[in-house]
Amino acid sequence: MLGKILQVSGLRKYFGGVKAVDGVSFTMDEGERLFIVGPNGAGKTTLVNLISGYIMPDSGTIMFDGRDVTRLSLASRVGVGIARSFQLVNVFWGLTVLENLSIAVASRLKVNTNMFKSLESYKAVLEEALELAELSGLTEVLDKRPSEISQGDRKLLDIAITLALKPKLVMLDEPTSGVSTREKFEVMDRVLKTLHRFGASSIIVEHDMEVVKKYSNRVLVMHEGKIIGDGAPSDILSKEDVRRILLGEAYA
Amino acid sequence: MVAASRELGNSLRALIALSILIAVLYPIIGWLRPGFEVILTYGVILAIAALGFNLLFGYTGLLSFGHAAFFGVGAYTIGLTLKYLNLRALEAQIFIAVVAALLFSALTGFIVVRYRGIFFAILILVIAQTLWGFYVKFYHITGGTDGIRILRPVILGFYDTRGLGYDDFNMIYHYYALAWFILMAYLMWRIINSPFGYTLKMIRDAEDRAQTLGIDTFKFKLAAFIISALYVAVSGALYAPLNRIVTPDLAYWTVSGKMVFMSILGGFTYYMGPIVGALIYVYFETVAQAITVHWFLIMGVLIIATMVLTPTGLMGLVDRPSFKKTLSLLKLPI
Ligand SMILES: Nc1ncnc2c1ncn2[C@@H]1O[C@H](COP(=O)(O)OP(=O)(O)O)[C@@H](O)[C@H]1O
Ligand SMILES: [Mg+2]
Repeated sequence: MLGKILQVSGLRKYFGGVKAVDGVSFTMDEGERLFIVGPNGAGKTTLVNLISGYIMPDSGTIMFDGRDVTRLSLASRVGVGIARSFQLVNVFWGLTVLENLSIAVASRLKVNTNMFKSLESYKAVLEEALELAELSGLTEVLDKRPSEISQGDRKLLDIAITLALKPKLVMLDEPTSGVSTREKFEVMDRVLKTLHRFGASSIIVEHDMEVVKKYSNRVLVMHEGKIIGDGAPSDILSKEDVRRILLGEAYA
Repeated sequence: MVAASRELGNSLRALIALSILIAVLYPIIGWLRPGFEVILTYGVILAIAALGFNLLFGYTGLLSFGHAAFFGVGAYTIGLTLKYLNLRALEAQIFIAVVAALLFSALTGFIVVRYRGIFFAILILVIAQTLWGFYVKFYHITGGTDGIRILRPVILGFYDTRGLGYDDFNMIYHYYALAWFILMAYLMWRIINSPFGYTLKMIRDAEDRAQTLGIDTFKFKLAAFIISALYVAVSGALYAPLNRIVTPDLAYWTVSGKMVFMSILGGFTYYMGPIVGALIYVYFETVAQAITVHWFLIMGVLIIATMVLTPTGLMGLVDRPSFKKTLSLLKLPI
């Protein structure tokens, strides 16, 4: 039987008077894929920031893989297997696609401190980087800089960098934001295929309901820092109050 | 990787070609315009400083206005070890300079590297200017503004350059400095292509993203700061015997400004950028100083023109497809 990979309880983070995350509790099974939806400002990104160790909570606990990681630093959480990507593409703009992937793999292998061997000469790193590129559909653009590739490819690169860490839990903050309608399903197909390949559990923040309906089997709805719905998308997304909140955003 | 390292401005072949050129050009310039060949020696020495400076600026994204401090540490180590220990073995003196710069940069870096942008730049500037004040004020130790006269060194552990004539010394010292340059530049090439070098580039491009990959960015920035300081100190140490005197102005903030200038002029995004920048800078400075006392105005116009016309510096021009095509037509091996 698979254990619980993540147990979040009573998590709270206020910014001054803003209750960004206000008593959030949920659990996730190993290998599970969880979508988080909710209007702008609902606290989705803040929740991801808290779980990844980007910011520290005011109160509450985060149990990951059987241990309490609530107060662990960002770097230590990467060490135990939590990785995330950002809502806005955050890659290394001065490096080529292959260099981006290679140095990410090298970071996981902890060879960063070597000063005299060339990065290129690490065969294992190169092979893994090429495999990631293949899975992410970036083989054609290996020598390009991120500014020279499509927004969809940039997103895929960003996510591939995260996956280079071989995390147990991957958190993706709006993987399709800024991606054209044409590209978004392509991006999601790739991402989910890669996630599956790596056997990682995932939390995916998503604003696009078409994407959520197509790819999720469990969805959390957030509103004003609280979870107001948790379950199968067919049940949750048809509820009247949830629809009003989510539609309210779409027509706001 | 690949693509980037094949660019002319990032290739080892460019370094080799340039080193050969510097070796060959020295006697030719000496023959064409006697006295001007020493500019090349100054250029080679300052290129070591610019390379170190640019590890921090171009590769780590930290702009320092205080690296003159480490140039001063290098130059004054030569002066003080000569004055107080009667030491003239240059490699031993350079070794002491490296150790001094290591200690000093570890100490200062530990404080300043926590900051970014203007805070970093100003903090390191203040520290550097304080050190400059020390050289000026503590007359009985440093000779104040009179400085310390530098006797001819013993190089390679056995070769005493004291008996040599002016031109002979300059020539021998040129090739000696060139050897140091090739060594330091080669090591730098290894560094920037290593996982460590790429980690610095990650920090430059997106420090928060590097942290999400589990990188302790503070440690890496500190390491880059120290390495860059060591380069600048070696440069300062090599500069002293050629200059024949060390004075506080070697540690003045304008020297830091020159390193910024050289990196931008040559192109700080390229490995070869600071090297080419240093060589051309010293030439322009000499010419400008010969023309007018307001030479710094000319230099100011030059730097602004570079930033407007080619933000990626001279190497940026060279890496344009049209230029490469010309090269290939000429069948140049670069
Ligand atoms: N660093 C911060 N400082 C102050 N307020 C913040 C900060 N981060 C988020 N907030 C606020 O917290 C609330 C939730 O934001 P966020 O988590 O980004 O929402 P979402 O990702 O769901 O759109 C918003 O009102 C936002 O303005
Ligand atoms: Mg958000």
